[in-house]
Amino acid sequence: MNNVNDILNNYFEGTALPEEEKRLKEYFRSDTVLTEHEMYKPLFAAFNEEKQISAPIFVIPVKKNDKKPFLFRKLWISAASIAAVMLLVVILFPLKNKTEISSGDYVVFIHGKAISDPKKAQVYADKMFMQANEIIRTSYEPLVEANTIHKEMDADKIFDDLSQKINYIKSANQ
Amino acid sequence: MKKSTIDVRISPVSRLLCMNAQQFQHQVLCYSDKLYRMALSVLKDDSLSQDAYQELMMRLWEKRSQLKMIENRQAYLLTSMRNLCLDMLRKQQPNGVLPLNAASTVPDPHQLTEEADMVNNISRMIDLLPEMQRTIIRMKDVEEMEMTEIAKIMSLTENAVTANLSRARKKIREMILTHQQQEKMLYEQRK
Repeated sequence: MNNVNDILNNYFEGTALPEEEKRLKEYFRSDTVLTEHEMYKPLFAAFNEEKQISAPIFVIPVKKNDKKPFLFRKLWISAASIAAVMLLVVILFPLKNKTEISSGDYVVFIHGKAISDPKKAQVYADKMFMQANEIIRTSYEPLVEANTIHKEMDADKIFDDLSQKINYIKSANQ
Repeated sequence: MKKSTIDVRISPVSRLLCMNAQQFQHQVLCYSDKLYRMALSVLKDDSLSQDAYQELMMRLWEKRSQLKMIENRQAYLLTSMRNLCLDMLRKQQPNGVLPLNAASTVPDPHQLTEEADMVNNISRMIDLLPEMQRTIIRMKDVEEMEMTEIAKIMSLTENAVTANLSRARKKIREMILTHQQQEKMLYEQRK
């Protein structure tokens, strides 16, 4: 009895060993509980009773959170793969243009800049041809004048003209 | 109370998920009862405890891939449940502060005798203890957990757990003794 009292005191002090607590619980579960300890019997019975409380049912939400059926997933994966490949091509194509130019591409380099728009390139080319034409025209103007002078200053022609004029005067005097 | 089995329904279409559901059952749902009892101990309300339990389970199910990495799963789950319940208690308060613990008064002897169920009254007495004390006493005496694990769940030292456990048990003893004296007085008055 003293032993039970000691263990009980230790129990309430929180210093009882796990083995002592086990013995105490067994004692209060038995039919040999002394009258002086009867008042503590419901305490240990309450612990046992609380241990019987069970959780409500939890249903795993399979449909909501889990993966799609196999066939659906397969289709989805295929579609995603195609989309990924197309996206890759779209991403890589401009890179290819930047690094190398194929013979079929319409590309004009202006001040080191590649222009692939045909209209822009045409406008720029026309402008450049006009400028070149003007340069050529203004550059050849003195040469044309010199040629004209050269033609006018032809000695044979001058002598021919002069001999014709002399002959004309001679015939007039006779 | 009758113990119920855990119901895990898996549709035949999702057979591939069986492993996940089974793992979840083995790793988490095996602690269901302890978790629910923890919720009851903190919240002291069946309906709220059921909500807390379902909420925690949903969260755990959604993050089930991360659960594999947790070493002490029981401590993690019980800590999560306690924190969730404390959050719920805070949200119930207009100022968002955790409610003060009820005074540890002994239930009215008239009421007790009417109920005529001392075992249930002990549970009510435990519910009168401060949240920390009642959670500790239940983890120790109902769940029969080790002091080290209780300390881990409660984020306390083992000495602090022992002190709280001692206080809780002493208060319960006082309540039992007071209740017995009141019963005696009632008995004598009736005579």
